[in-house]
Amino acid sequence: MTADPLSMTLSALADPTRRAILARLARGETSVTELAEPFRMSLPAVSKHLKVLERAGLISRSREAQWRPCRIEAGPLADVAHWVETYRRFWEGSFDRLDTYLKEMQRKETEDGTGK
Amino acid sequence: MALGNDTRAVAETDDRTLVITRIFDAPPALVFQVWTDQAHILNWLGPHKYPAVSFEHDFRVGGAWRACLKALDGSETLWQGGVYREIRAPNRLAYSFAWDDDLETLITVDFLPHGAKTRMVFTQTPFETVKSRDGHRHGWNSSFDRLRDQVRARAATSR
Repeated sequence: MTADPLSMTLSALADPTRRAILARLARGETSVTELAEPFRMSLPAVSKHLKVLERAGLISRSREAQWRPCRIEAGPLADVAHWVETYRRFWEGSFDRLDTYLKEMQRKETEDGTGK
Repeated sequence: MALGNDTRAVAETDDRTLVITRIFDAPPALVFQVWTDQAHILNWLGPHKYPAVSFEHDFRVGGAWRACLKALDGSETLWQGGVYREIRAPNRLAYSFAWDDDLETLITVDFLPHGAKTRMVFTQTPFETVKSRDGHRHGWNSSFDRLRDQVRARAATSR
């Protein structure tokens, strides 16, 4: 696995179960047992997913309370959104130019066409 | 309040895929040509302030492409490149895309007829997403690789 944070975040987010876990945690912190319920999954299986999410910094788990509630961390998600936004700006800018270029090309073609 | 922000963040990441749809006032054949012909690409690739200044490619499936973009004020040069994955003129183009030292992504562009115009659907998604979608076979393969290694190791120790 690649070591940079964005790769880890994207890799963690690639799994639908982990995305569902995050969606659940977005509604508020909760225990592992409670998280496991809707997924029909064993506790160890859920714990495995949580470890991946925790390594990617997408969730944190309290060490104070006995039941170690899971909480979503927004930082890495904001990084992903920012990354996608950078690409959007790049492409929208390119497509604006593509649009203009196509128009110019076709106008020249018609001009050449009528000239013949 | 903080919770509201988190929810929005999750909603955004549900599509880590960038999708842009545009209508171009030209037929698909022309849009495809402008998209894939080296001389044409230099006329539009990159935003106004960061136009492509060089573009080279080996235009076939498996062939590489590479572009250099330069800030108008000359302050910065950026390189990007990848490999063609699918070429189906004039309707579809797929290739990998990465800025130097950045994550690999997969770009798919569909050029659909829209009257006399073209409806272009552009998607860009990180490879992590593609990998997980196509990943089951790889998962199996790596399991078999490990099994094979174990068998070899055992054979070696029993000798």
